[in-house]
Formats: sequence, structure tokens, C-alpha cells
Amino acid sequence: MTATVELLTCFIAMGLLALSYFSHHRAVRNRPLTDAQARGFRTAGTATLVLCYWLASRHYGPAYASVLLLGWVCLSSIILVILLSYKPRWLQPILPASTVVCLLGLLY
Amino acid sequence: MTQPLIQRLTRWKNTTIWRDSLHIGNRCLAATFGGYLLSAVATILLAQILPLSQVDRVLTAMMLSFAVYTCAVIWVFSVKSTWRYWLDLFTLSSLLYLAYLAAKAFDATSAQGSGL
Amino acid sequence: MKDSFFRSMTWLHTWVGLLTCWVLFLVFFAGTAAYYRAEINLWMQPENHGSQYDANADNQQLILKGLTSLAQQAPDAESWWIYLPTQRVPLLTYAWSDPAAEGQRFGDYHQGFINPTTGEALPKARESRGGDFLYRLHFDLYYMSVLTARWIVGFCTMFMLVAIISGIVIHKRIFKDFFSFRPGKGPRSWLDAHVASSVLALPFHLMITYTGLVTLMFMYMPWGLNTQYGDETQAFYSQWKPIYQTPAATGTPATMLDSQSLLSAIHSVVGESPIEGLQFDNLNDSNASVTVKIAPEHNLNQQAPWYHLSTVTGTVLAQSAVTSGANQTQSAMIALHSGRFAGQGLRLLYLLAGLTGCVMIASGAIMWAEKLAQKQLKKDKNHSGLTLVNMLNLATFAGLPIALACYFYANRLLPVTFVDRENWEIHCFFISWALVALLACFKRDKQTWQRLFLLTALLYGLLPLLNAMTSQYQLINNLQRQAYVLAGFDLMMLALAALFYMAAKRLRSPKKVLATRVTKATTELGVES
Repeated sequence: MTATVELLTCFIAMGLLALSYFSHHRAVRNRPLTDAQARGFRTAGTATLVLCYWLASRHYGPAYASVLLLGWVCLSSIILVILLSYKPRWLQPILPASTVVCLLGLLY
Repeated sequence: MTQPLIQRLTRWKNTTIWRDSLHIGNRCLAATFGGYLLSAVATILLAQILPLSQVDRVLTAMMLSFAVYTCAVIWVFSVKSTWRYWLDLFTLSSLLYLAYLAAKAFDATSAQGSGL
Repeated sequence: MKDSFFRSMTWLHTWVGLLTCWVLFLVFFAGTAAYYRAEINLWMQPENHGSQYDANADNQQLILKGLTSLAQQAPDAESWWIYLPTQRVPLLTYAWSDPAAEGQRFGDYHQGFINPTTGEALPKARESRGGDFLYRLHFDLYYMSVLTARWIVGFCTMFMLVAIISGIVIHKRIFKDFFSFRPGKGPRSWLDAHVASSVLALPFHLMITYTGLVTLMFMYMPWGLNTQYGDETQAFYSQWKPIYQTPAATGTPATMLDSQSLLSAIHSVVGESPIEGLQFDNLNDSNASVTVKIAPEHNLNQQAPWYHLSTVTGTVLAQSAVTSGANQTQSAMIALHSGRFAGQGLRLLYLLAGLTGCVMIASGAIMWAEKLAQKQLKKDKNHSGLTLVNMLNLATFAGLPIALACYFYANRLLPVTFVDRENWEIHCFFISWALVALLACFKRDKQTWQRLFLLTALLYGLLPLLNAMTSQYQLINNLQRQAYVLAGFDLMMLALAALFYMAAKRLRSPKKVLATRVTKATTELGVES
């Protein structure tokens, strides 16, 4: 369960980072991106990534967690690239839903 | 019949393709063998001067050698003039080797023994 | 070299990649499969499929059983080994090596297996190199001396390292284009696939290339060692890896402790730490010793503890100590490359990254061919290099998956008593690859690619059926009795079949007009011989 939560956190982080790009933001949310919003997404994405690494280190130890995190970033990025290329609108419901699943997983 | 063989070969020798191939082949040789020479000499030097125990010096120097080799190859292919990189590779390798010999001599005189 | 640094690096990246991409694809393909070599080993010896891993098993009893079998079957051996069961290898393995005969460097190696839950010896499994062949293939190649192969692979790896660095240098918009992929646009799509598969798994590619070189650095760059130690390289090895320093045989015979006392001696030293394996050297000699290796678990930067004990007196002769930073770094590099510390999840990520590497290499080569084909379409000129590249592309990228499938088929279809069985399984791998290469000499068009992919999908899809017909357990009852290694293998084959089927279908229906035009170009060029 914890591994799934961590993987989802990584996916959310990469999704937020993707949204900080103009073209992807427009494809997903159908409106242009302001500079402030872009910075907001980048900060949120980086913070979530740090959170993910912290959760993974608590679970696996820092060395193993760093290797695992790189693998998760790779996997999430691949899924995101496929999602953004073929069905970008789906990202809009998927990100909040994943957040809810993560929070539930962390609580229980 | 077509032009005699010698004439055809001479004409080809003066074309751009041959000159370009010479230049590129030259660079490839320099990158492959010259780069290897440079990284080997750098390894030898590092294995002598790093401030670690003998086993650790050897391991660290060997692990770093491939980074040196890659940098040498990239550098050979980014230099503009044709023979400049051969000169630079040989000069740098010689300097590094001299540095190694100096370090070894210094070590031998100051430590009165071998290595450790 | 060219007008600008950028253009020089682009030229370098293209040529350094293109010249070695087919060898590198073989290395990546075999190496990725090798992450699961223990699982492949198990699948390819169906006589061992009945074993199950039990986390609560009494390891002491298992070691006793191993020792009893070894004493019975190999009393005069030179060395003994016992490996305890793990989740990936649910068997108690015992092995011995005969003393080296005249002209041999090492004596013959023999293995036996015991089912850990029932304690009974398993019937002799069919001879097969299994996953170990794929592991060796990725750096020792085959049909050539080991030294030659390692030089070739090292050369190609160095080329790949240069390709990665030059690729990073030329991809100025690396972060801007991070998530971009434009499907259905011909060479543009291949470029996007190449960039995506390179960038998204870039840490893995950089790591695997560099650590691959470090793994064989004593062969590629021995100069540090030679100048520091001269002729006494043995002194270096004994300081670097003291685990291999067992005292030599004295020649005076001595009786070893009986199994029970030996086990209690080991237990008093090791305690409850999980033992990975034991190696017995200098049997029945006064210097008889046992090396006890503790299981490394999931530690990346800590090497697993080990102990040398005398089997005559039971005292500790030597044990592992914390090693220096450089030693740990080198050990961690090899661990990162081989993934030996990885748990199930991380191992799957390694597989995914390896497959991404295969996609990177294949998309690079195909993109080059398609770009050249497009240029040729405009200039109406033929390029013999393009024919060669198309041929090699088809032979390698379509041929290797088929060769692997045929290797698995040969394992089940060749009779168990077939002479020289293990080598003939490997010959089947190369024969099927050669047949695809032969086909590629004559037909290279899109239809051939599609048909070969469909064939691959069929071969992989039918493998679980073949397993059901040729072994005692099949997918459903493997899932039921929680033999996840075997079930996982079958499921992976089905997943691969689905992947190749999807690829075949995509080849049949190109989405955009540009892609169709490129198809026609390659068809026209492919039809000429």
C-alpha cells in the first residue's frame, strides 16, 4: 500500500510539473497559462517530489529510495507522455482523484 | 572504355569526399587512440597523487578514467583546426606523465619505501 | 569540426550511435532479460517447478540436508557449495567441483537441487544454460573468445557513453520538450520516440553505460593497477576483496567437524542473520575452511557480511570489516548495474528502463533510415548504406525477439536426453536469428516488419500453452499455489505478445499522410535487392 501511495505521489508531482508548461496546460485545461500560475505549478510539483522522496526514504532507507525514485520518475513520465499525447483532457480529473487516493492511503 | 584507372583514382583523391573522409578518419583515430592515451596517463597520475590508501587510489583513478576518456573524445570533435588536437593530446599526455614521474620520485625520497 | 559546436555534436551523436546500435541493441536486449535470469533459469528447468519458497523454513535443517547429499555424492570433491532458497530461486542448491584434471583450469562443476518444503532431492533437471546464457551473452557475446567479445562490447559501450553525452549537449530544449510526443508524423514521430525514450530514462542510461565500463575496468584500463603494484597485483586483490583469500591447502589430511557441530559453530558466530550460501574449500585438509555469506538484502552501499571459519576446529579465521569509501563506491556501481540488491518492484522498474533503452536504440536507427529514405525520394538516388541499414534494422529489431522466443521453444521441444542439449538450445537462438537476417536480405518493406511482429506475437502468446503441455504446472495452478515466479513468466510472455500485436496493428494503419508517403518510399526501396 505504501509503495502505491509513493508511486502515485510521484505521478502527481510529474503531472504538476507538466502543467507548468504552456502547451500542456492549454491542452489539459483549455486556457492559457500565466507566469504566476507556471511558477505555482513548478513549486507544487517540486515540493510533491521532495515529499515523495521523504516518504520513500522513511520506508526503504535513503540509498534505495533514491534509486527507486528515479525509477518512479521514469515510469510516471512515460505514462504522462502517453496520456498527454493521446488524451490530455483526462489529466484534469486524474490528478485530483490521485491526490484523494494518496491522502486516504496515508491516513489508513 | 572509361578513363584509365590511375586517372580515375587521381580525380577521386582530389574530391571533397576523400578529403572529408581523411579529416574525419583523422579525428576518429585521435579520439579513439589519443583519447585512450590521455585517459590512461590521467589514470596513472591520479593513482599516484590522490590522498587515499593505495587500494583506494587505484580504484578511484580507474573509475574516473572513463569520464576523462569521454571528455577527450567530445573535445577532439569540437576543435576547429585539423592537427591541433593531436598536438594537444600528446602535449597533455606528456605533461601528465612527467607529473606522475615527479610525484613518484617525490614519494620515494620522502617516504623511504614504496607507496604505502 | 563543423561550423558550430552544436553541429559537430549532432554529427558525432548520429555516427557514434549508428555505427554501434545493432551490437548495443543485442547488449541491451540480453541485459534486460538478464535482470530476470534466476526466474528464466527456473522456468527452463520444469523438473524443478514443484518447489515452493517458504519464508519460515528451518535453514539449519536445509543446510544439514545439503551437507548430507554432498557427503554422499561428492566426498572427493575439491570444493562444495550450498545455496539457501530465496523467493526468486525456491530451491536448495548444492554443488561441487571436481579437482582440475590435466590441462584443465578448473574442475567440472556439478549441481543438485532439493525441494525445500519436502526435503526430497529433485530429479535431475534437463541441462540448460537458462537465463545465465542471456546474462553472459550481454558481455561475453558468443561464438568468440571472451576477451574479444569484451573488447567489442567495451568499445561499443564507450561509443554509447559519447552518444549520450553528445545527445545531452545537442538537446538544448531538454526540459522544454520534456513531455512532448507527436504521434503519426513519420520521422518526426520517430525523433520524438527517440528523444522521449532517451530523456525519460536518462539517469538509467547514463548509469548503466558508465557502471558497465566500471564492471570490466580491470580489463579496459588496468594502468593504475599496473603502475602502482607492478607484478604484485595479487596483493591488490587480497586487499580489495579479502573474502576470496582462503588459506591454501597444506596437504596434511584432517577430519572435519561433523555436520551438527559445524552448524552450531556457524550459528554461534552468525546468529539469526539470514545466510545466503556456504562455500567449503580444501575439504578434509588441515586448512579446510567454510565461507559463510550473509544475504545482502536491499542494501546498496553496504556490502553483505561474511565469515571464514575453519571446518576442522570451528574457529573464526576472518570476517568482513567495513570497507573504504572507494571500495564501497565501486561495489555500489556494480550493484547498480546488476540490480542484485533490487526487490521485486525495483526489478520491474529496471526491466522497464532496459526496454526503454531498447526503444531508444531502435527508434534512433529507424529514424535515421526514414530520414535518408525521405531525402532519397526527393533526389531520386539510391544509397547502398540505406539498404544495409534497413537490412540490419529488420534483422536485429525484429529478429532478436523471435530468437529469444525460439530459445524458449527449444528448451521445451528438444528431448531431455538430447546430446549436448544446452549448446543446441543456444544454437536454436542463433539459427532463428540468422533466418530472419536471411529474410531481411531479400525483403525489407513495411509488410515484412508487420508479418514478423505478428509472428513474434504468436510465438510469445503460445508460450504459456507450451508450458502447460510440457511441464507439470501451468499458469492457473501456478497462480493458485502462489508460485508467482512461474506465473509471472507466463504473464510477461502474454504481455510481450500483446505489445508486438499492437505494434503490428499500428504498422498496418498509419495515421497521417506523411507516414503513408514514407511507407511508399521504404516499400519501393525495400523491394529492390
